[in-house]
Amino acid sequence: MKHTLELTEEQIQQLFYFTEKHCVRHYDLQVELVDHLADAVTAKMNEGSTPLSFEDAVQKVYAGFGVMGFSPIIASRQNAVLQQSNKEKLRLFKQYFTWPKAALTVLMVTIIGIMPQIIPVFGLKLVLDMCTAAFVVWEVTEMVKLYRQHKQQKQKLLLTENTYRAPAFAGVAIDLFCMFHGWDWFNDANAFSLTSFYVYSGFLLGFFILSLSFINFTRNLHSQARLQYPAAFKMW
Amino acid sequence: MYFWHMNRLSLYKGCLEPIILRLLKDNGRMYGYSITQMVKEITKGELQITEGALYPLLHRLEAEGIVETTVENIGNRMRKYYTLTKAGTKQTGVAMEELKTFMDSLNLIINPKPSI
Repeated sequence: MKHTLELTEEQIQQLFYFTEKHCVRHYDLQVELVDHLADAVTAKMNEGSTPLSFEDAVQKVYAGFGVMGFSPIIASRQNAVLQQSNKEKLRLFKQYFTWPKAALTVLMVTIIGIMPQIIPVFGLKLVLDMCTAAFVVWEVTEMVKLYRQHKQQKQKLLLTENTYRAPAFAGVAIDLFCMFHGWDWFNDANAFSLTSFYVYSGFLLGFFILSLSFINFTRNLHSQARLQYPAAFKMW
Repeated sequence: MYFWHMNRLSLYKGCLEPIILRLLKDNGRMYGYSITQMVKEITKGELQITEGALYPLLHRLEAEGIVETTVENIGNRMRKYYTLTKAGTKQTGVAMEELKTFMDSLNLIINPKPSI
């Protein structure tokens, strides 16, 4: 009976180094390629009457990937992750316009609609100032939390590559605040009108919903990544 | 010999997606290497899917929501399994129908019915 050769832990590690040496920088893609290489190399080492060394088998298997090596696979994976991320972001954003999350949007729009009837224009200006400040503080706090979460990741993952930068609307909100608010608001109360209130609160609401959906997206993706690739979140 | 091999591969190229979908439908969940081996085994070595063709296709199918993936520890390494989603099962039926129509059309060209 022929003895079947199996790969050792050390040889599996060598396959990880091999993929890294051939420009596969992300752990999630390395995992898939290492598994494929391991199976193919084991088969190659066990075929024929003369046993093939591990190194020779790896080279033979890699030659089967063609002259482009891992490049088409890396490119396809990057495209797929980007496409999936965009789809998921859009789905989460749309949730705020469908039941049950649409209730939150309707509530906020109703509050914006009712406020001018019970608060004088000067008061509205104050409310908007406070809302903007609260939004920026909340957004920065969330970003710090996401940054901490991101820091726990010890391996690069394609899956989570674009998530950390996602909820960066605080800066844009401040820009818009300055643009719409203008310094006139501080000096001249007449410069602030109901139109300014509706336009600015509309933008603020839009950014709030975008931020909420992007933060949810990042959290979901990190939980999924942690579940699928626990080794990427530990020290080796 | 090389050119003949290349031509055969290009003949199969358009059929790769329905082949993979069908394999996933019949076998539940599969991983990359097992797909290449099963295709090789079923076609008695006639069709050998290259990694450069298989993985980009699997990644595209995953992005389109036709397949979903799970990662499992199999001892000394992790393995990524592909499974058809609900949409993927529906898509497999459509792909099989399209492939059958294509094969019927090819058959009409290769074996034309004698005119009456």
